[in-house]
This record gives sequence, C-alpha cells and structure tokens, in this order.
Amino acid sequence: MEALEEKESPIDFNVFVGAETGIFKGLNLNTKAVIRKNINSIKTLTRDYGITALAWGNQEQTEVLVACKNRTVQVYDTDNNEYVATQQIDVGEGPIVSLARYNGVTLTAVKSGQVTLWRNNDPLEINALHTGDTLARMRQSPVSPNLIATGGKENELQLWDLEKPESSLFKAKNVRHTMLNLRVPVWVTDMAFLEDNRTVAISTRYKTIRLYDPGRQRRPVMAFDWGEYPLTCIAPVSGSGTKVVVGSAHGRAAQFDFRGRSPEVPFHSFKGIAGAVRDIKCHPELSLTFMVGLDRFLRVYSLKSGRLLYNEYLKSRLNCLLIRDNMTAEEIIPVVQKKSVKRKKNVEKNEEIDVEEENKHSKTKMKKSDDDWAALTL
Amino acid sequence: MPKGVGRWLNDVEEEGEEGEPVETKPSEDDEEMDPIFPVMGPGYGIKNKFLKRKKFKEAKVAKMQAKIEKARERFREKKAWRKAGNTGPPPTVKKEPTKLPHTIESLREPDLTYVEKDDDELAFEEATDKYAKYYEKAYEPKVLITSSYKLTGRTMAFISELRLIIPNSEFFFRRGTTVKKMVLKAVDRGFTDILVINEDRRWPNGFLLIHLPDGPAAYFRLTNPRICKDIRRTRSEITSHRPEVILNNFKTRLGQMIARMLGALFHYEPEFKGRRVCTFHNQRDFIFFRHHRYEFESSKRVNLRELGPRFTLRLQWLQDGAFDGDYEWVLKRHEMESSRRRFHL
Repeated sequence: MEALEEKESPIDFNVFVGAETGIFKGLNLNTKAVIRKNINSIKTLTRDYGITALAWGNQEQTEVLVACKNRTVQVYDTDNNEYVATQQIDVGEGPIVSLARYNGVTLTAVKSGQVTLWRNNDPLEINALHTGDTLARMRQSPVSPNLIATGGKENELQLWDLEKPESSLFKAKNVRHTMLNLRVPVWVTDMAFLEDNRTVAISTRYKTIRLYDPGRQRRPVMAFDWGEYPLTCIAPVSGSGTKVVVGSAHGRAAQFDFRGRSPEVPFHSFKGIAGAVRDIKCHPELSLTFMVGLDRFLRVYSLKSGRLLYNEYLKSRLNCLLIRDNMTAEEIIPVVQKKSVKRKKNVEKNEEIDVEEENKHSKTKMKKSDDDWAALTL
Repeated sequence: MPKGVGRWLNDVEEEGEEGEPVETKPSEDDEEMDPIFPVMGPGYGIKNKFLKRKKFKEAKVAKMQAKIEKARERFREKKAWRKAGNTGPPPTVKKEPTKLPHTIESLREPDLTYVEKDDDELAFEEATDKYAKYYEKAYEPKVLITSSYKLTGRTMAFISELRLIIPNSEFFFRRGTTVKKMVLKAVDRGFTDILVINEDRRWPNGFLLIHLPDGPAAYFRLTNPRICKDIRRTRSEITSHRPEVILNNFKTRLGQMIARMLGALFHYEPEFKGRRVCTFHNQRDFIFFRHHRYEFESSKRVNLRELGPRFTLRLQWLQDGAFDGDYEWVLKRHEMESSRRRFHL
C-alpha cells in the first residue's frame, strides 16, 4: 500500500476522490490540462482497501485522512505525495463511515455507532447508537468544530459536543405518525450544518429532506419529500444559510432553498448524472458544486445556473470526494471554455466566457448580416 | 419570404451547383473528418406546394440535361480517339470505388467510457467484482426463471424456450411473491441468478436479471419476442448441449458490465459437440438475441440454422444491489439522448 507510482516532482492536486475498489485519485484541475493520477499502486490493492471516507488532516490542507474498508486510517501527505502514517481502528464493528479532525486529533465514526476521538492517552468514545441499526454518517460543524452530528438507520439525528461527551446536546424526535396512525421509519443518510450556525438539514433514505432547529424544537421545523428514490447525500451551499444540494440514489441532484414559499420545489436540478450520487461538496467561495457517484464521473456544476461545467471520467465507482478550498475560478473556467468551443462549429471562436456569469452557455450565433438577406433569391 | 424558403436556401449554400453534395475535405487543422450527412432533395422544407413542385421540376430537368451533356462529352471523346487513328475498344473511364455508406453505428460519437486495451484499473475491478468468481470458473450458474404475477400462454412458451436455452435453469411459478423475498429464498436454494420475464397485455415485455447473492441487477425492456413457432421451428431441435455464447460489440464500461451479466447466465464451458450458439449482439444500444446451430455441409462450408427464440433487449437501469440499493446507471431519455449518434453500451 505504501508503494507509490514513480516519484516525480509533487503535483499540487486540488481534488481527491476515493473509489470503492480502493483506488485513490488526485486531480489537478488547472488552466492547461487536467492531470489525474492514481495515488495507490493497483498491484498491491485488494477490495479491503475500498475507500469509505476522506477528510483533511490539518488546516493548511496538506494532509488527507483516508479511511479504508479494512478499518485503517491512512494519512497522505500532499506535499510529498506519500503516505506518512497508518492507524488501525479497533473499536466497534463495520467500516468507518466518516472522518473528521478536532484540535489536531482524528475523529472516527464506525458503522456500529462508536464515535472515537483518538487523543494520545485516553481516546474519547461516544456511543452514538443507543438505539437503532447502523450509523450512516457523522458530520462536523464547520463553524464550531467541537459540534458533531450523527444519524443512521432507525437512529435519529443527534448533536454532540466533544467538550461534553457524556450525553447528546440534541436528539431529534421522529415526525408524527401518518394519517393511518403508522410510525414513520427513520433512516438518516447524511446531514449538513447550515451556515446560519443554528439549523441542521438531513436527507433520508425514505426520500425526505428535513430541517431541524435544535434551539426551537425536537421535531423538524420543515420536512418535505423529493422524488421517488432514496436520498444519499446532502451538502450546504457556502455563502447562504438556507441552501443545500441533495443527491439521490437514482442519479438525481438538486439545489433547494429552505427560504421562500415553496422550498420543496428544486431551485436548480442538475442534469446529466447517470448513477447514484455518493458525495457532494460545495466550494467555499465560488458557486460551484462537485459530485461523485456510482457512474464513475466527477462532475462540476454551477450553483447559479445549474449548468454542467465540467465532467471527468475516472474509471472506478467513486465513494467520496475532497476539494481544496483555495481553488480559484481560473482553474475551472478554462476547461469549460475549451469544451464549449469544441462543441459547436458555429460558436464564434475565442469567445470570452464571463467568469461572473458562470458560463451561460454560448448560444449558436449564426453570422448573418443585411447583405446576406439581400442576396437571398428564390 | 416564407420561413421555409430561407431555411432551404441556407441548406443550398452548402451544396454545389446542380444540387450535388460537396464533399467536405478535411482541412489539415481539423483532427477528425466531419461525417457526410444526407443532402435533402430539391424543394425540401418549402411549404408552398407550387414552388416546391417547380423547384423539383427544375432540378429534374437540370439533372437530365447534365446526364445528356455527359453522354455527349463521352461521345465526342470517343470520336476524337478514333480520329487519332486508334483501333479496338476505346478506353473506359475508371469509376471511383464506392465508399462505405455511413450508418448511425459508424457515425457513433466516441464515448469517454470506452473500454481500452490493457487497462489495469479495469482489470483489477473485474478481477474483484461480483462476477469475478464466475469468470474464475469457481461455480456453475444455476438460474431461476419466473414470470410476473399472472402468466399467460405466450409468455409461458417464451419462458419454456428460455429454459431450453439456458443450461441448469429452473422455472418457478411466481405465486404472488415479491422479488425481494424471492431473492432471499433463491440464495438459500443455491441459485446464482434470477430471471424475471414480465408481461403486459399477454405479451412478454420486460426482462429483469438479478445476480445473487448481492447484485447487481439489471432491467431490460424486451421487444420483438419471437418464439420458435413464429419463425417456423420446433423446440425439439434445441438440444440439451451447453451452448457457446457470443457477446458482440459491447464497447463501453457499462456495456462490458452488461455483457458480463448476460454471459454469466450460461455455463462457462460450452459443449461444442452440440454446435449451439447464443448470440447477444449490441447495436445502437439494442441487444439482439439470436440462437443458432452450426451446420457443416463440407469441411469448408458452414451454414447457420436459426433455432429460436429471438428477442431484443434495451437496458433501462443497472442497480448495485440485488433489487435493492443504489443505481449504477439509469436511462434518462431526455437528458442522455442528446444526439442520435450517442450510445451507452
């Protein structure tokens, strides 16, 4: 596993993706070309190395934490392009579902519900699964890193403070019974801390999107269904306290705005996805969203227009995604420009694509002057 | 000026004089040659009937005149050749060799997901995926065939013939079970694949293939099912030998997966003595199934005798789990079928 492909001058990858097969790829989206590279050597891989979670190891984003199916966490150094450490997690059962970093200490969550903060002497363990079957995901609040959210199958959303791990800060309450007085099943798949630092949104396997306000009540303040297929992931849109991007198991993704009169109507729905979406990330400054999934593509969409800006075929079924915060618009837009020129002959070449406008697709412009019209005869 | 006329004139700009197509020669900076698209006939797109007829007539006259002129030219050439004192038959003008006509298949847009040769990432994935054991010949496939809830005559006949084709397959009446329950039962009984033939209006129309124990599952739309009787064959011609399987023209990563799924229904070691061959041929995302027997007339000449049944499959979705789980690929017609020349398999 430690073996790397030939060591060259380090490439500054700005997107990392982890595949089901254990293949870990770094991508460099830049002005000239897209460089992609398998970081792990395929010869030494087995399915046990299937990547289940990725997280940044430090604030400077020079280390990547990689969680494998065989319950190891590896630390990958992006400066030197090599693995620097490996740790075996021997708590609980099942694969690691999520990773995070708190005060320079790694935080892991396994499928059987144990959330562990691996402090040097005494690892702190939280059992997030007193009731229920499995833990699906753990997320850390970007604003206050000591705050984490957990949830899973028959396990409602819970918020925990790592400073006070004895009991959960907040435990959601299931929605009311249906019209037929039947209990509504619970299966939280993913959660998103919204930027207003107050509310948490979740997606469920039972097609619902819910918004919780822990300061107000234990039941969701907003809940609605979307589509006919399970929802797999949800990500907050940076720069807005009310928007989220949601992905489904049927290859659909859409942006929702909780504000407004009809939040259940997608703000934008992102077209062209063929398979289940497994991970969504939104860029912290640019209005871009990145998605990976079972259809083996990395896709970049504009959050403003909903257009597909860029896609890359990465050969393996992708599980998780990590993007660098300091990626600039220039790194994405030239790729788009190149593509749009290729697409249509009639597009005026070298047409500048406005970065602000986020590539409103250049419409086919027929060159037609008055002389042409005058020249037309029967 | 009517709208249609302007449109037609625009089309004409691309043509030569006399309405003949101009062959676009690839310029040096163009990497790929543009396909030659069919040229619309004279009068195409004109809505005014009289104008349209006039245009057509003019074009016809011009074409005839050109033909006559060409014949005259040829006659003059021959005359001049004789006058020069030559004898014998005059030299013939060499015809240009006819080009292969373009088809939608040959104009196919190259796909990003084409399978490349010697791709170690693909080789690794295939060596470790859910069908790896079959292709290592670790187990013999055992197929459960069933129908939708209600079974009528034609579907029954179709299933009976599938039973004869697929070795080691068993038919079970559905008896109102759900697919998910059936999956659990079939795993217990040692089946490796489930095949569900759906019917609508007493006609087979769906083909659900599930690999056990934990996926993948694929659903195909089934069209043009022809049982043996329809093509004037008898079932008694189908022997119990294990057939050879040909999986043809699956080019993309998705196509490769589908080919693996279909191939794994049959035993990995064909009995060549039986000379039976089952073909799944992919063309424009339609998978055509044909069933033949080789007939050796002499040591050189071989015939193919079709045995039946026939059917055509069109992939609708591919799911990761056994009828449960995330979708790996879903056909979304309006999003995906952006071009007539873009295919997924």
